Amino acid sequence: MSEVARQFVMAGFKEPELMLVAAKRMRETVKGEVEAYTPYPVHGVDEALALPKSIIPKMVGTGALFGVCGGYTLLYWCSVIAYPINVGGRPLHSAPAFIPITFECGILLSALTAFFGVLAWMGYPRLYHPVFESPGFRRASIDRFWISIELAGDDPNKLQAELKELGAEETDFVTEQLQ
Amino acid sequence: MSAPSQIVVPRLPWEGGRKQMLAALVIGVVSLVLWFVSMRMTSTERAVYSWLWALLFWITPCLGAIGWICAFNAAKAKWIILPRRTLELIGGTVGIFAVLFVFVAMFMRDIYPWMRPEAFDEEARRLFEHRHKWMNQGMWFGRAILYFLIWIGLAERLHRWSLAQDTADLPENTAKAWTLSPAALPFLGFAISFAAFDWLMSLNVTFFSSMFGLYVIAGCAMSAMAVWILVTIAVKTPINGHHLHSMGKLMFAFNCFWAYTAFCQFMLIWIADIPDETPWHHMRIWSDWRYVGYFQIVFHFVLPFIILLSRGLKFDKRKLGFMAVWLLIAHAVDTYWIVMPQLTPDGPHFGITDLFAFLGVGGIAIGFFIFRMRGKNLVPIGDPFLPVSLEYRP
Repeated sequence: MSEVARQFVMAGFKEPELMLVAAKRMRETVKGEVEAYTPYPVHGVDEALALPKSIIPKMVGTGALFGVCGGYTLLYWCSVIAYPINVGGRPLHSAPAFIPITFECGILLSALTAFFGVLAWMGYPRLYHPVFESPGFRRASIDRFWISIELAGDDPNKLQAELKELGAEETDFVTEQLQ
Repeated sequence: MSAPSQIVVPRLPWEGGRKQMLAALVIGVVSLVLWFVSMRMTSTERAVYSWLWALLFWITPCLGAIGWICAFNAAKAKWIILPRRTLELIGGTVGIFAVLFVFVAMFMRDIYPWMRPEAFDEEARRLFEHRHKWMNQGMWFGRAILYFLIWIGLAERLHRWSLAQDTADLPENTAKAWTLSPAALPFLGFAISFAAFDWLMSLNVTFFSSMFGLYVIAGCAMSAMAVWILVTIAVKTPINGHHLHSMGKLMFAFNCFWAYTAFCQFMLIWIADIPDETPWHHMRIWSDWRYVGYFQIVFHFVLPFIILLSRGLKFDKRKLGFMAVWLLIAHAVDTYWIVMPQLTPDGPHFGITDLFAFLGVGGIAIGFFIFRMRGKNLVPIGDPFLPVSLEYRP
């Protein structure tokens, strides 16, 4: 954990459109990082925050590749090296019989990579985030569209005023609680 | 939020494609005549096999298109409405195949072994006799007529309901289509399966596979999506990137489904290894046909799979169009691989009859397709859910 407590200016909006406009404006004018929190996926957040392309597909693809190679290798090792059993006169190395398991291993590993990859990408196992300090923030999972701006030298009061002007229903200023 | 829709929906009937239509019809008719000439030069059997292959390749997208419309309607999908009219017309092209099918019916004696049991050994004759109640000329004709009635009836009914909405305020037609389509899907599926049994499986006396109908249907679904993508791009339907992305995803998914059915059919027969079932694959593996099989594994599945995984590619008209053409070529090879080994079991021998049959059926079908497109709105402007489709963004 960092030594210095991070500080955030937050703003909750009633409408997703207002939130998108404010997020875009903040990203363009403020130095700190802008983040959005919404009750449901809102179209246009990626563009408003100028998020880079997700790396999850590449992670899952890599996982699938490992699954496929690992599955085939395991089958090869089982049927050819460790337990060479003659089944109906077929060659020990019979690709058609290996493919279903190989496919399943590919699916398994890509699913696991996707599941744990997303969790890791979201920051688990860390359960605390400074934005939780704001009492109104719990409505982010009900009916309010929140953005947060990490302070990097901007004046929090000026930012809050600006966000109010952009249509924010409520604004807040929070500081990270360090243990 | 996304900007308000800037899409301009063409309100006027489409009048393009005159040159293409005439060219296709001329090529089709000339090839048909040349096919007849080449039949005299080679053999009737060879020519009719080529014709059956060409028919199979060109009819599958039409059958797939009917299936897609029914499936979309069953799901009450609204995003497909903007490009739907061309899909209806691809399905509607099935009518011309009832005419082109006459050449298979005329010469069926030359290709179907159960029509001439005297030429086979006793085991095969016993099989023919056992199946005679189902597999005889009268039943075969009757079923073929039934299949075409189902296909043409369904395609035309759905197309006309949709067409009537263009000129009159008939929102109830959408509801009617949503009711008929799910009810019709089982009949459509069975008709395609049984047509595959009658026309393709019965070329071989000893082929037993419960997967074969589904295998053909998978090819139908994939090729229909590929043709739809190409037609939508060609007639410049004002779709957005998300429409194209979804169409590309479906093409991709059903290409994987094709690979799945093809592999399952092979793997189950291979692993059971029962003498009754193996000859069909045996013929395709222990001869030069195996290279066609390898070609399919690589060019019908592995490479398209890797390429079509890309998300960006499916938003790009040119790249997705290229992949659609690629998959249609692979589909042509696949259908060739289904039909032809029965004629030349030792390996593929391309003949001039193949070319003429392919161009003959294709030219006439495409000509008929463009002929039916002309003078119609290529966007169903009367559909009550068209605005939803214009805003499509999954």
